[in-house]
Amino acid sequence: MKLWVLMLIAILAGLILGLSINWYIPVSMSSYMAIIILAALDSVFGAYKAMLDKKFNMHIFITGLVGNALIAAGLTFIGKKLDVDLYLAAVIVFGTRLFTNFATIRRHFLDGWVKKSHKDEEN
Amino acid sequence: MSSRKKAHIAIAVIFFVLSFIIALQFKSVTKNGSLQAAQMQRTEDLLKELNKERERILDLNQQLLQANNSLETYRLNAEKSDSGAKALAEELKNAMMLAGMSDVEGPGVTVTLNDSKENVAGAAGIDTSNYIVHDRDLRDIVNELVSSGAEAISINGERITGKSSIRCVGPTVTINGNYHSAPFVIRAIGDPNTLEAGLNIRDGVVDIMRAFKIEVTIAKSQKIQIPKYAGKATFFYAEPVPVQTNIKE
Repeated sequence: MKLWVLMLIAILAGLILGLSINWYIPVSMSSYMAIIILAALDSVFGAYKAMLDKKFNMHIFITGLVGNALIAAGLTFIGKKLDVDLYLAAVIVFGTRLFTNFATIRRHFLDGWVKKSHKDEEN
Repeated sequence: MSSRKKAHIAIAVIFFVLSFIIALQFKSVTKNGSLQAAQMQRTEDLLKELNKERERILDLNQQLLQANNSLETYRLNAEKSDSGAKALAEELKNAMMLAGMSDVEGPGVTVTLNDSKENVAGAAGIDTSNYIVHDRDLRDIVNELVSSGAEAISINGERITGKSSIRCVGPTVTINGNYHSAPFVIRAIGDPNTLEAGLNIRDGVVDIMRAFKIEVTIAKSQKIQIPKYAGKATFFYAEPVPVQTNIKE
């Protein structure tokens, strides 16, 4: 429960700071930023899923986060140079993974809830 | 610190950074409009290039200024020293004036040429191009001024030198490679009366231009300022011949 509070505070603080500072991402960096965000989101959801499976490993999480973001940005850069929308590859992979991770997380909670309600009925 | 606690802090930091970036991106995209991103990028690139070029021009001007300053110091030093160097400096001064490489002032005339205001468009048997100022008119005037003893001439601030050209390019005239259009202000240094008389010879350049209602004004003045030649002064092919050898015609 304490972790939840910490996370919530971190997210809120980030959002508030991001919205309040008077600095904008340059237009030329916009597409890189978007793809980095997607990669990071994928890593975070993956980490959450791993936590539920009790397989979470800090080092894997951090290297995955940084590595994915770098590869995604690199793909976008190469794609721009070659005039191919290579970032779409990253969008599809990360997007798909987001959905599967979300599905696993949903099933996990649904299972827990169903078991609990079964127990309640038995009592 | 336990590893569990460490992990929690790491996750919190990551969440913080992630939400921070998301907020920034959200804000930036809202501001720029994602659809226009490509165009904005192009504008941004061009602006960057423009600024770079502007800086380059500033830089080059600065260099030119420095070079001119040091040249001036050398010259002054040379003048101060022995008589041989003094004579050389005097010769250099004359050579610079002859080449049009120094600003000069003195008495002379200012000739202003403007296109005819006569409405001749569509009139039968009339060539409308006779009613505007051409490169040949400018050349005629320059020619007349030189033969009347003008020592320095400029057109719209372009010094006329041995390397100058005056030619028609579309609706404009290039002088020393720069574009100019009417009105043309021609300044010449020399004896004002002689210069004026030379221009006003009967059936001379000005007479012919006035026949086509081209506006010509000639003003005498005791103080005319003419700038130096601003173009390149490098020679790629010509080389000076040593004085001893004679050129056979």
